[in-house]
Formats: sequence, structure tokens, C-alpha cells
Amino acid sequence: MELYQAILIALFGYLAAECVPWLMGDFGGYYVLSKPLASGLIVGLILGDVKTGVMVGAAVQTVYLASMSVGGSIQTDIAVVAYPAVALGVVAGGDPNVAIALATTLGILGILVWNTMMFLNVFWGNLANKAAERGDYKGVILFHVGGTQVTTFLLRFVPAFLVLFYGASYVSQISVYAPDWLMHSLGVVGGILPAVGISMLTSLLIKDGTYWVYFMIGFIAVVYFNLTLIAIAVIAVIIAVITYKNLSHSKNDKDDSGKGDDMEVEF
Amino acid sequence: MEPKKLKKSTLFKSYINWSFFHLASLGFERMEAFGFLHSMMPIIKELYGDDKAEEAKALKRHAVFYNVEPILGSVVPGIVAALEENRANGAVIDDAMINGVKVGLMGPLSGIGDSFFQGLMCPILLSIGISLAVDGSIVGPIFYIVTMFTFIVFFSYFVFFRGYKLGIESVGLFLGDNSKRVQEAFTVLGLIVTGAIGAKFVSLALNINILSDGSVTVQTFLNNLFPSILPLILLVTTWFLMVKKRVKPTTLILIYVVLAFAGSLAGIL
Repeated sequence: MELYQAILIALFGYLAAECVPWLMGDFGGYYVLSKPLASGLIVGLILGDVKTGVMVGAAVQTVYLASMSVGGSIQTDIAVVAYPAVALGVVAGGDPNVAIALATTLGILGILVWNTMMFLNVFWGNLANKAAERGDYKGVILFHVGGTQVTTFLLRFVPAFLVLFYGASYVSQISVYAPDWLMHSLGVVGGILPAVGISMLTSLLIKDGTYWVYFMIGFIAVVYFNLTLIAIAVIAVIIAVITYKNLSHSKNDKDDSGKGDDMEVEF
Repeated sequence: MEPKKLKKSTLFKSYINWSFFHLASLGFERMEAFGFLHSMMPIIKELYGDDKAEEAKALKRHAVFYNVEPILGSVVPGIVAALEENRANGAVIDDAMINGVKVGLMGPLSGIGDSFFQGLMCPILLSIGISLAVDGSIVGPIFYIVTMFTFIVFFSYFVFFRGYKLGIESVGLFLGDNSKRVQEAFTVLGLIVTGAIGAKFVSLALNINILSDGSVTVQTFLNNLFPSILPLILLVTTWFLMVKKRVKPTTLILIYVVLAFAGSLAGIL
């Protein structure tokens, strides 16, 4: 593969990935151009063999027909499959099995990339938050878009380029250098840190200790009854309507709006 | 004083900011918080631009945990823009109310949006595209790219502006005597959904054996006691530290990252 071809394909691997805004975010990236069916066309154009590109893309797509990304967690990093893996399949003489086999190896690398990105974005988010507190619009954009995209670009472009230019065997070494403890620790961090974000919501919504009962309704609905969010939302609406009906107007007059003052919290 | 009315061009900028940057800074802690804030920035600038203190408060109000399927979720910035417009015109709409609306909507919208777009639309259009791509015909990929992208853009644009209209029309609910009751109802709605999101997103398990062969572990004991008790303790402790002890989230994150790595390396997490 020529240098410029490797650069272009790796660039598309970045542009079409989730959490990259330039192709209209997920609207043009994740939902459209990160599908192997679509990437086959682009890879084919770059490599000068559209027919093979489309055939490999379509064949790989059948395997990933129902791949989903739900609530910020992924099973496979589809952009890694769509660009580097499909491209290597085309180079290997149009054998979709090469791409599918590679997808499994590269997918593990993709999840490491994804978790590292989610981790680094916590720090960019805190800088953006500081800017928001100052009322600094440009600062928010600088960190929320500028900072995150520099690190996401490096995380996605560099490994994709190495895979394409030096071959997959070279890069499978990376998963040796990124040992289990790092993958595992990032997973543990990913389970714990949402507690901080969610506590910002509870600190806004909980006005006194008794409000925890409502939180517990939602919590128990998941851990004991394993209900979906839609089912829980329906229950929540019912309880909210009951609450609304049970509050008499007279009680509202007594209700002191300053009640929640001591609960204010500095983010 | 003339009541404030958001310009159509401001709303359009808000939609553009949402449609491009919804996931730009997705992170473990606040997920799409800054994507949402980005979509609110043109709204905040127009409504509160002449009052620096209100402006900063409004920016901060939207810099909190948020996570939604972004296509159907385009309805939420529209609704919240309408709420902010009314707030700027003097309606009693507090931070808890606005975040109650956001949180109350994000759960069900994500459930419906993910099953519809990822579970239904994508597989159907992809299957048609694959069948058109036999022998390497470019009609297949082009069919998928054009139909999917066009549908997403029109749909998200439509629900954004529909959301704004809905927010304006239903605002009578939030005014006058009723406002306290509605705010309370939204707080309840938001908290129940937050509890569910807490249970789904936060995970923490101990990897300690009671019997050395691994047949009895501390975690099995805890699961029998109360499933997900550790995430629950973590959520309550975090809330307690943030609200009662006024520990900053940044400090908490550093402590948690260190503890997570230490626990993971020591083999107990």
C-alpha cells in the first residue's frame, strides 16, 4: 500500500468513528460511514479498486449487521473494522475472511482505544467545566472540541496507519504491550467514574434525605426486576402524576422556595 | 419589558451544534454533558448575554451528566431551549426542574431511539444495500449512505423544532400556582430515572475469595444480600461527599482513579 493511501484510509478511520464531530457527528459517521458497506466504497476509491472494495465491504457488513453501541459502551469498535480491516482485506486479494479475521484482533485494540478516549475525555470535560463556570464560551469549545479531538485523532489515526502501512502482525504486538492489567483497570475506572456524573444529578434533584426513596425505586427496578429504561420511565411518569395530584395548592403556599439552599453544590 | 423570543437563526445554530458535536467529548464522568451545553450556547448567549452572572449560571446548569441516543434525542435541546426562553422571561423554572426534564426524557428516548435506529433502520437499509452490492456494484453503498443520512438529518431537524414548539405550548403548565407541583413531579420523575441509570451505568465488584478455591466469594455473599449494593454505596457516598462535605468532582475523580488502579493491581477489584 502506498503511503498516501495508508494516510487517507487511516484518516477516514478517524473521521467516521464515534465521537468525532466533523462528518455531522454520529449522523454521518457512526450511523453511515462507519458501516463496512459504506467504507468498502471509500476504501475501494482510495485503493483504486472500487469493485473489490464494495464486495469486501458488503461481505464484512453481513457479520456486523446488528452491531450496536448503547449508552456509551461498545462491543466492537466498528470504525476499526470498517477502515483498516476492510482495506487489508482488499489488499489481500479481496478476501473478506481476511478482513473478518483481522476485525477480531483489531476489535480488541479498538476497545482499548475507546476506553482510553472515554478516560482522557474526563479531563478535557473538567477543563471545559471550569471554562463554563467562568462564562467562557470559547474555552468550553477549546476543550470540548479542540482538546478531545487532538487526543482522539492520535488514538485512532496512529494505530490505524501503522496497521495499514506496516501490516497487522506488527500491530498485534501492541496488544501485548497493552497488558491485561491496563485493560482491566480502565474497565474498573469506567464502572466507577459514572458515579461522579450521576451524583451531580442527585445533588440537584435530592432536596432532603426522603427523596432517596424515589432514587431507590429506579435502582431496585433495575437490580431486582431487570426492567428496561422505557418500562421504568413509564412507572416514573405514573408516580410523578400521582405526586402532582396529591400535592394540594395550600401546601404549595407554605412551601418555602429557599428550602434547598443548603444543598447547593459546587461543581 | 418586551418578552424575549429566540430567533429562528439562533435555534438553527443550536440544532447545528447538537447535530455535529453531540458526542465530541464523550467521557466516563459526564458523557454528553458538553455536547448538550454546546447546543445550548447560542440560546444562552441570546437570552442571558446582557447579564454575565446569569450567563455563567446557565452555562454551568447544562454542564452536568447527560446521555441520550442523539437522533431522537434532538428533541431535547428544542424543549429545553423553550424552557430557557420562558425562564429568561421570568417564569419560575429552577435548575432541578430543567435537569429533571432532561433526565426524565433521556432514558425513554434512548431506549426507543436505539431500538429504532440501530435495531431496525440500520439492519433493514443495510440488508437492502448488501443485496444491491452484489458483484461490487456501487449502487449498494450509495443507496445506504444516501437513504440513511437523509433520513437522519431530516428526522433530527424535525424533532428539534417540534420539541421547541412543544416546550413553548406546554409552558402554561409551569406557570403560576401549578409551578411548584409540576416542579415536584419532574423532580420525582428525574430521580426515578436517575436511580435506574445509576444501576445500569455504575459497576463495582470485589474479587475476594472466602474459600481459597474460589467457590465462595465476597461478591456472591453481597449479591445475595442486595444485588449491586456496592454501586449503591458508591453512589450514596459520592453524593454525600459532594453535597455534605463539598468535595469537588475533580478531586473525587482523582481519588477514584487512584483507588481503581490500586484495587485492580492488588487484584481485589
